[in-house]
Amino acid sequence: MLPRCRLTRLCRLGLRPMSAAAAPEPAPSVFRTSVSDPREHSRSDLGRLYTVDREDHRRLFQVTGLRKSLSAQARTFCELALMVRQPALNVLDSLRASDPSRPSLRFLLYGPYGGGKSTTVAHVLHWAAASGWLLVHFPEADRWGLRFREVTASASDPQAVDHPVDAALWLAHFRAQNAARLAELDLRTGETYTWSRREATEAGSPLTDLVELGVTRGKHASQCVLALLAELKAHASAGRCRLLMAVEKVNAFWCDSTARREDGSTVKFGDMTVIRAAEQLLRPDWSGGAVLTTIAPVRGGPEGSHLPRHQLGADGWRALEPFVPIRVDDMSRAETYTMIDYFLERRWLQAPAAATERGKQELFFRSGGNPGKLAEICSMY
Amino acid sequence: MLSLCFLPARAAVPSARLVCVRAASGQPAAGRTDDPQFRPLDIGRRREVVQQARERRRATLPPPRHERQPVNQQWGDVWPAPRTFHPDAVPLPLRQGFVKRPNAQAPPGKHANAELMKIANFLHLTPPVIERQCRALAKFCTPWPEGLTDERLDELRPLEVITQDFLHASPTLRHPDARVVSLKVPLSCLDLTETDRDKLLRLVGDRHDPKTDVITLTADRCPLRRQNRDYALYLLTVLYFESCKREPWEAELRTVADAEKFVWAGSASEAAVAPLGAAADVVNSYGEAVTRLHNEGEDESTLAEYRKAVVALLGLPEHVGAN
Repeated sequence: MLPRCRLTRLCRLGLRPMSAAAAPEPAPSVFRTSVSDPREHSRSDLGRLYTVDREDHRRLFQVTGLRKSLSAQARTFCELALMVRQPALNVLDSLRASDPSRPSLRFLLYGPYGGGKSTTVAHVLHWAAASGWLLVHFPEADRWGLRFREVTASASDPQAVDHPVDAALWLAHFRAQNAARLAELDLRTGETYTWSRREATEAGSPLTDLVELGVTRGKHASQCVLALLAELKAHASAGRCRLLMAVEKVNAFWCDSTARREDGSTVKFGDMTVIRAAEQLLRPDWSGGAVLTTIAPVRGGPEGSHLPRHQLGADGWRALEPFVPIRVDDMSRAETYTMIDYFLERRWLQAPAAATERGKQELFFRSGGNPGKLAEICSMY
Repeated sequence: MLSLCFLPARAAVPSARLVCVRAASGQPAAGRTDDPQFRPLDIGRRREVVQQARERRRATLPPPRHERQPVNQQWGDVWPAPRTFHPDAVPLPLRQGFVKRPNAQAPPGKHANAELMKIANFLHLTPPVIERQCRALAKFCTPWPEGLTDERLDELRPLEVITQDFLHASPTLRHPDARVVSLKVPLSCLDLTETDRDKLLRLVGDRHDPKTDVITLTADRCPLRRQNRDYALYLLTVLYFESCKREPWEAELRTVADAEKFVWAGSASEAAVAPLGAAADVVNSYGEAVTRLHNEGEDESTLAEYRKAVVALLGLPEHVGAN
C-alpha cells in the first residue's frame, strides 16, 4: 500500500491507485465462466476461465503452492484465474464418485513441460478445500532434496535426515490451508509424542498443537510432520475427515538428493523424515481420501522419456500402483484463444495485432498451444 | 588493284594487304591467266594437299570389322573368351568417360578409350553363350529331386555358411576379406527349453535378429577361411552346450530384477490389486495391460490401455479412462 500522503495526491490528480481493493470487476465475457465454486464445475465450463475467490486464494496459496509464474500473474492481474480443463474435470468426477470406505485413489498427472499440471493440481485443491477436505500439499517435492535450506541428522534415526527450516515453513503452509477446517473438525492426537525431556504432546490434544509446535520449533518440525500425517491418515481411515494429498514431482521420492552425510554418503530422498511422512500416505493401506501426484523430470532422475513408468522407476511404480495416469496436454486452439482473450482483457497483451484473428493464429503457432510457452511469449508484447 | 577483279569466288582474302591466292594444286586459279610476271605465292602447307594424302591413306585401310559383321552372326564365336575391350570388334556405339560440361559435351567414344579398356567386360558371357554352355554341361547333371523345395531345404539344411570371394587387381592373389566366414542359424532348429533359449540370447546379444529368429556368428580372427569356418562351428557348439548348463547359484540368486520379461502371476502388481476385491475378468484385463506396458515398452498406446484397465478396476466413471 502506498503511504497516505502519496495516495491523496494521486486521488487529487484523478488517478486511482492500483491496490487490490480498487481493481474493477471484470465484465462478463465468453471466455469466463461465472461459476467460481469448483464444486459446480461441469462440462459446460470446459475451456473457460474461472476466478478463484480472493479469500480462497489467500488461504490456499498464501505461503506457497502455486508456480512462480502463475503467482506473479495473479498478483499482476489482481485475481487468480484458472482454466477449467478436461484433466481436472476427470479427477473431480472420480473424486466425487469415490467411496470413502474404499482404499484411497491415486492419480498421476503427466505431460509436456508447462502444460498445466500444477494448475490442474491447484484447481483440484480448490475443489477439495471447498468440499471440506483436508489438504496435504507438497508443491515441489524435489526441493526437499535439491534446493533445501538446511538439513540435519535426525535425532531418532542416525541415517535419517531432518529439515528444520523447510519443514517449519511447510507446516505454516499446511496451517494456512487447513486451519479453519481443522478447528471445525476438532481432530485429536491418538498417542503421546515426546519431543524431549520437557516437551511432549499428550494423546487427545488437538492436531493444531502439533502444527504450532512444528512451526515454532524447527528442531522438531520434521518429526511433527511425520506425526501429523500419521494422525491424519488414521482419522481419514476412521471416517472422521476426508483427506487429499497432492505431491508435485513425486518421482523425486525415488532419486538421490544432493545432500551428503558427514561420512560423504549420499542421502536418498527416502532417508528424509518429511519424505517418509509423505510416503505413509502413498501406501494403499488407508481410506477416506485420495492422492494426486504429478511427475516431471528432475535433476538426478532418469533421462529420456517423460512418461510415468520411466520417470518413476521400478520402485516408484511399485509404490504407486494401481494409479490412474492422466495426461495433461497442451491447449487446443479454442483454449489458447480463450487465454489470449483473457490477456487482452487484462491489458497484458497491448499490441493491436494480438486482437486480430491473424495475431491469435500466430500466437497459437508460436506457442504450440503450450500454456507456459504462451505466457512466456505474451510477456514480450 | 587489277588482280583483285579476277579473284575466284571461293578464294579467301584475309585482308586487303595480303594478296595471296590459294589455288588448287597444280592448276592456276580459275579465271586467272598464266601471267609469268606474277607467280602465285604459296605460304604454309596447303590444306587440300594434306587432306587428300589422309584420304588416300584411309582408302588403303579396310573398313573396321564392326561394319562388316553380319547381323545374324554368332557373337560367341566373335568373342569366345575374356578379352580386353577392342572397339572395332564390338558393334556397339559405346561412350564412357568424364567430361567437364556434360550438358555441352558428349562422353568420349569407344576408340582409344583407356577407361573402357581398363574395366572388366563380360562380353564373353552373353545369355545365348551361357545357355549354350549350360546345354553342353547338362549331360553331366542329374535332375533336381522333386520333393526338395525351399522349405524342405530350410528344414534339412538350416545352417547357412556365407563367404565372399573377390576379384581384384593387386600384386597378390589373396584378398584379406576373403577369410571372413558368417554362420546363420535359425534358433528354431536348436533343441532349447525356455531357460536355455533365454541364456543363449543373453550370451549372443545383438547377434540375434528378433524378427527372423536367426543368430549370425561372424568369424574373422584366423588367417584362413577354413580355420574361420571351423572356429564359427566351434562357437556355435559351445554356445549351445553352455546355454544348456545350469549353475547351482542360479536358482537361489535370481531375483525379479533379473527377469527378462514381466510375468503377472505371482508379481508385486498382482499382490497390490488383490485387496481391492475386483471381479476376476477386470483383474485379468488389468494384468494384461500391465504386462503389455512392461514387456512392450511404455508409450501412449500402452498407457492408454493401462488407464482404461485401472479405471475399470477402481470402478471410476468410464470417460476418465477414455482419452
